[in-house]
Amino acid sequence: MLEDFQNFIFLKEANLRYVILSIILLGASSGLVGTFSFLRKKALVGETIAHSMLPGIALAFLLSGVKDPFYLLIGAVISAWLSILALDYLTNHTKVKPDAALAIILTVFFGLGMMLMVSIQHTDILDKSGLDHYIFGKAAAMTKGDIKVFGSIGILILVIVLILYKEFKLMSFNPEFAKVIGLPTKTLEFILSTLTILTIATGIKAVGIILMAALLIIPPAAARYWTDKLDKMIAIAVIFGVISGILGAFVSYTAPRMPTGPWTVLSLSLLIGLSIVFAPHKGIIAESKKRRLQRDNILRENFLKSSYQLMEKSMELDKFYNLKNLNTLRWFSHYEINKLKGMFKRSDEVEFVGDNFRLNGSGIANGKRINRLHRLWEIYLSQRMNIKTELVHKNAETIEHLITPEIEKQILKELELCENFNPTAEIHKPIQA
Amino acid sequence: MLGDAISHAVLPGIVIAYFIAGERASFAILIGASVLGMLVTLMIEALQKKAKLQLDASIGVSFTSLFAIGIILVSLFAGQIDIDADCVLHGEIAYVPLDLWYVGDTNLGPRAIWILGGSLILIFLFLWRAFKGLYITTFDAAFASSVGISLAFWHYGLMAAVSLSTVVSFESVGAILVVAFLVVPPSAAYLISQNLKQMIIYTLIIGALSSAGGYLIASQIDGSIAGAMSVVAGLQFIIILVYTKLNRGISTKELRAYK
Repeated sequence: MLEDFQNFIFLKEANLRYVILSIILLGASSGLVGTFSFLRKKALVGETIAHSMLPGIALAFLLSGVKDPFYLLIGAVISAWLSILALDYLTNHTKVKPDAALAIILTVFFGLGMMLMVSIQHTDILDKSGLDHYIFGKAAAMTKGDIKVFGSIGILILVIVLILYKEFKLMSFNPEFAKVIGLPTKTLEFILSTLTILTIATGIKAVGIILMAALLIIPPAAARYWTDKLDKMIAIAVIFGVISGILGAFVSYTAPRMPTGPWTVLSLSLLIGLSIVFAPHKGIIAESKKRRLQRDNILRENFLKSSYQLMEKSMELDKFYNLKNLNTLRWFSHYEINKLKGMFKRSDEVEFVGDNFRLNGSGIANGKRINRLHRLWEIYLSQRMNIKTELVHKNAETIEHLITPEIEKQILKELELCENFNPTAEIHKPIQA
Repeated sequence: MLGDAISHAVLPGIVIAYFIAGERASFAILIGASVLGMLVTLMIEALQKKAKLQLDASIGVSFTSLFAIGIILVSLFAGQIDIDADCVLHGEIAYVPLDLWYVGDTNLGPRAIWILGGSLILIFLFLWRAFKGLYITTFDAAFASSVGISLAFWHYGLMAAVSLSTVVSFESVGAILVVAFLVVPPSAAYLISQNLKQMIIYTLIIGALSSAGGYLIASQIDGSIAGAMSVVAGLQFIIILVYTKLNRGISTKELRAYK
């Protein structure tokens, strides 16, 4: 195992070098192209393109009679282009829905391909074995010739994306605007489709028709969790593509029975799984932490608000109150009280002594602020929005936690009130009245 | 494309069922595949709702991952079980007459006919009982939910039916071409029908013609049966498409009715 690892790391075998280099190039170019198709919400088009290459490959083989990668590539590109044209026609000129159109093109082309493949098996062309590598992929069968094709196509894609980066960016985020300002959107789309086709056509020999789509879809989808910037997203997608390619190659190198493609895809799934859970800001953990903090803050603000109301009634600020007194205003569960006690131990807004509590300076100020925001919002709703006063309270209960100082200023301006206006009571009518 | 996703994703379920049940016990495979079929719909839903991934990418991520696991399992158990990646694609409809079902010593005929026939009856019953619910949730989801019909219930009911038909057809026509039968005939029928009942009837006719025509062609040229079937379905789609494009105007009958 260790020896395998060393061999792998130091690229001791020539064949291994080809495999790794080609899969790195493939991961990089599919991450690059895939990002654009992901952002244009055309992730599944890659799946259809990959499948529709089969009849082209089979026909090119039948016509030429040799398994020359170049002829097969041309066949694949031509039939992929036909499939894109057909897809375009079906979505734009018939009432067939886009995802049904994808499935129709995919299955009919692939069916034709399967038919031809089986016919090839029955012919007596000598070279026919190994053609089915295109369906499931076999990176171990990469040759020097393949590397040249991979490399030149990878560089071509990189150069074109660099030149047309701004245009592609605009096309991905705002196609209507791109059209309006006079960009040749049709041509750009043609170029982008061609790049996708070229990436897929070179990739299917390594990872296979069926899993090629994963290489286009998963890296950008995973990268999306880490950033909001296009250039960073592309870089991360490329890195993910490369890492998974290396992992896949390593597994199939140490265990020769294992296919490269599926392990590459599985490493990608692992990467996206990790991204979904752990990514900062957008990951599930970060999101739930954000939500928990928000919930805690609302609880805190509600407590301060009710306590302040209690003090407002009795007009005594510097006094201990029992928690039971709060029950008429807002009911806090035992669990919530414990949580609040923990929270206020860290800030000095509230002082707890057993079941009694007292608001301190900052606590009073915050309680006052929240009550004020609540009342301001109620006034705004009833005066400006003409909403019945009976209905404004519930909405104000949620909005009070969200109003920033800027919005507060805006509301005061709208209501033509002075900066330190302080309403002393909620305007909604209590139910018992 | 959900059918495409399901048909790819059932592979690991089938392989595990093969491995556990030891032989070609169709029932275990049915269960394994159905579980995975439901799993992939849930996975897509979770990715979309919980992880906030866009729909097309959710579909793409889920089924490719599961299919990759399936292929890995196939290579892992290669030699131990009688399944290889090729037969996943092709299906084995040509062997259907050889795989007979015996109860005791009585020969009940090919097993696939029993399974497919049974699921046809099941799906037919489902459609018959659920026609109204599916009808309303398909055409006016907003209205249906406003009058208190559960959208989720009918969605998952339909998905279960899709899973079932995918899974049972899988053995005969293979993973990818199941989708041809799920999508091409209804789309062709969609082009020429005026109402749902008509569309269902046309779909049935086109589907049956694809099977029969595909089999005939394949046996003539000695090619892939499943492949030929989807090509025939595609040809019918093209013919119907051309027909509708040529007859775009108002028909004489409609004109007369208008007068």
